[in-house]
This record gives sequence, C-alpha cells and structure tokens, in this order.
Amino acid sequence: MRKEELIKKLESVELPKVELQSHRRRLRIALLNADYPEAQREVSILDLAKSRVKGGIERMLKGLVSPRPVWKIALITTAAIVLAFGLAIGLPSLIGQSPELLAAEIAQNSPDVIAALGGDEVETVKVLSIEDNMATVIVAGKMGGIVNALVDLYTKVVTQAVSGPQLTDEEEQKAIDVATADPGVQEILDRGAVIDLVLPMYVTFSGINQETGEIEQITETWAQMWINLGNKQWGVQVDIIRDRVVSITD
Amino acid sequence: MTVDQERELVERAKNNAEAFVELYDRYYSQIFGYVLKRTANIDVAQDVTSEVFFKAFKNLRQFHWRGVPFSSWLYRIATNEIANYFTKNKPWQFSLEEVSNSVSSSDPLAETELIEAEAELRRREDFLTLHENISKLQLKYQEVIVLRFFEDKQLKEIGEILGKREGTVKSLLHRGLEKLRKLTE
Repeated sequence: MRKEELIKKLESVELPKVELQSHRRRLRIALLNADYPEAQREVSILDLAKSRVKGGIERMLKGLVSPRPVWKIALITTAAIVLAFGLAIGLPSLIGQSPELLAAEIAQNSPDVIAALGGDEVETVKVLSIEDNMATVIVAGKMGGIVNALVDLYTKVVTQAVSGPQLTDEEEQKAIDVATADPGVQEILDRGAVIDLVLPMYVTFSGINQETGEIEQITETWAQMWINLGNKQWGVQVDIIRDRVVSITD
Repeated sequence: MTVDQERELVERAKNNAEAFVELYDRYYSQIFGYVLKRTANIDVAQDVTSEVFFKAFKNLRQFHWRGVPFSSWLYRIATNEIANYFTKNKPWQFSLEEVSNSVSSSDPLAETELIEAEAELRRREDFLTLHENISKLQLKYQEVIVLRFFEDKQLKEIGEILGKREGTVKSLLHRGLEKLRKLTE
C-alpha cells in the first residue's frame, strides 16, 4: 500500500460512534460528590526530586554491584561517572550568560564533539546537569549520532566526549516503561506533564574486575529523558540495564 | 463558549465541583471518544476516561493558562493514562475477536448501552483492522496518528497536547505512517 493510499484510508475510515450515557451519568455524580484535594505545596515535587537525587548516587553505586557480581565498586573517589547530579549547583561567576547556555554553546562548538559526531550535523543540545562547574551535556546529531560531553565551565573546554549509537526503539520503549512505572515520575505525569525527549547517555565508571584484579573502565548505555509541564522541565535518568529510575532532577 | 469564558470557568472549577462538571459535560464525549479510538475497548475506555477526569479534578489547581487550551490538557492527561494502561497491561494486543462481551452492571439500561456500544464497535471492521496495526507501533507513533487522523487535530494542537514542537510532531507522523504502511503491506 502506498503512503497516499494509507492516508486516504485513515482519513476516510468510519470511526465508532459510541455514547455511554449511563457511564457519563455515573461519573458525573461521582465528580460532583468528590472532595477537592488539600491544597498542595507547589514545592512537593521539588522536594521529591531532591530526595530522589540525594539517594541517587548511593543507589546507583549499589545497583552497579548487585546485578553483575564480577564487578565491585572500588575506588569511589576515583570513579569517573559521566553523570552529574543536578542539585547543589556550583555556578561559575559568569556575567550575562547562564551556565546552561554556556555549557551548550561550548559543547556544540567543541572540535572533540564535532569529531565524535562523525560529520553529523548538530540537531539537539541538552544540558543534563551542572555540578562543581562541570556540565554534562548531550549533543544529538540529525543523522542519529549521540555524544555525551563533559564541559569544564571554568576553562570552557570539553574534557570528555563519548559517542555512541541512538537507543533502539526497544530500549527507548523500555526506558519509558521503567520511568512511567516509577511513582515519582507518575506523580509528575499525573499533573499533565509529557515525556518530551529520550536520549541515550553513556555512563562510565571504574570498577575492579574480580577475576583479574585489574581496575577497568566500564561504559554502559542508560537513558536520559526530559519531562515537560508548561515551562517546567524534569530530567529523569533511567538505568535500562537494571530497570530503575536513578534520579529525577528539575 | 469563548476562550475567556472557558478560562473563567476553569478558574471557578478549581474550587467549585459544579463548575468542574460544566467542563466535564463539555469534554466527556471528546475524551471518551479519543480513549476508545486509542484502545478499541469499551470497558477500558470507561475506566481510563473516569481516571482522566478524576486526575483532572485532583490536579486542576495546578493547571495554569500558558497558551495551552484546557482541552489539550485533558487530552494530555488521557494520553498519559493510556500509556500507563499499556505499560501496566503488557502484553496487550487487541484482536478482532477480543471485543469484550463482559457486561457487569445491575443497571439494565447500562447493560443495553454496553451491548449496543460493543455491537457498534464490531461493525467498524475497517477501523478495527487499522487499529490492530496501529497498536503494534510504538506509543509515540500511535499518539500522533490517532490524534491527527481520528481526532482531526492539526499539528500545532498535537504539539500542544504532547508537549512537542510542531516539527517533531511532523517528523513522528512521517515515521509513524511509514512504519504503519509497512505493517499493512
């Protein structure tokens, strides 16, 4: 079937015309009798996000150990996690330009990032988080290339650019399924928020290979998604290997 | 009802259930119809529609006019609820033989209505065949295709509902149609 034929079919198909007056009536009565919820503090989601983030690192590190027994978390202080958590932001004293904008600009113009994209033209730049003047930025190309970049906002250089493939449809769906099953994410979605974008993020950390005793770099692909509600935005990091939401940041 | 009148009604509805029910009366059919076209299941459409309006009622105080109409907000909640339903009920595949016959109501009128509704759904074979293929697509494609073709929404409005840019909606629609075309071959 050609696309034009399919469109014609979709436009002309006879749709079911169903009216359920009994359901409508019952629901109407139930709504009339429903109590309004107690006024909620506007910050409740923020508090939730903060509490999630506070526990994020700990839970993530635990998570890295249990499902794969060959790895043990070793030198936490030296762990290079290409992932930063977005609270307690140490903003540089920049005048006139927000750290987010600066990070995005540095990342998308970085020769390292452009090289990692392999000639792909930049389509989307998203700042995941900023901590201690280090920004984690995802740069997505039009052809599907993705680069995770670490930007030093003091020296204004990209210190690390890791490229990789897009999430497959299955991985993206899995990330959405895991996120929407999370009570924190569900609470945000219940307010009418929508999942805007799902991108891969490449998480690198050091661990001891128990068989060899060597410290090795491990890179995993997780998912980073953005949820929008009006002019508010949340970032949700999903470990799609262990099916868990690692953090929710606003 | 003008935009200003609706805006005023929404503000009143934040503290007045009767005002909320006015909004409900205005949008019940649209939302129920949308959920039915997404799920092709009368029982699920009733449950999801109820959930949508209860969530709208519960969260209305957090709805602020930011250029997105109230109806788009309801569609957005409905879209989230449908996604939630699909996620929790996997594997969930509708088949032509699977229109539920279960009528569990002590109300004879409701029972008759349900039987008629299911008969109406069964009659729309072309729709059910299309729906069966659409339901095999990823949710993001299902959403844009149903909103565009079954709900007759423009790209801008779909963008408002899904919180996506118009260009993104266009691209999703293009890719979704291509995937659906392959499924119908």
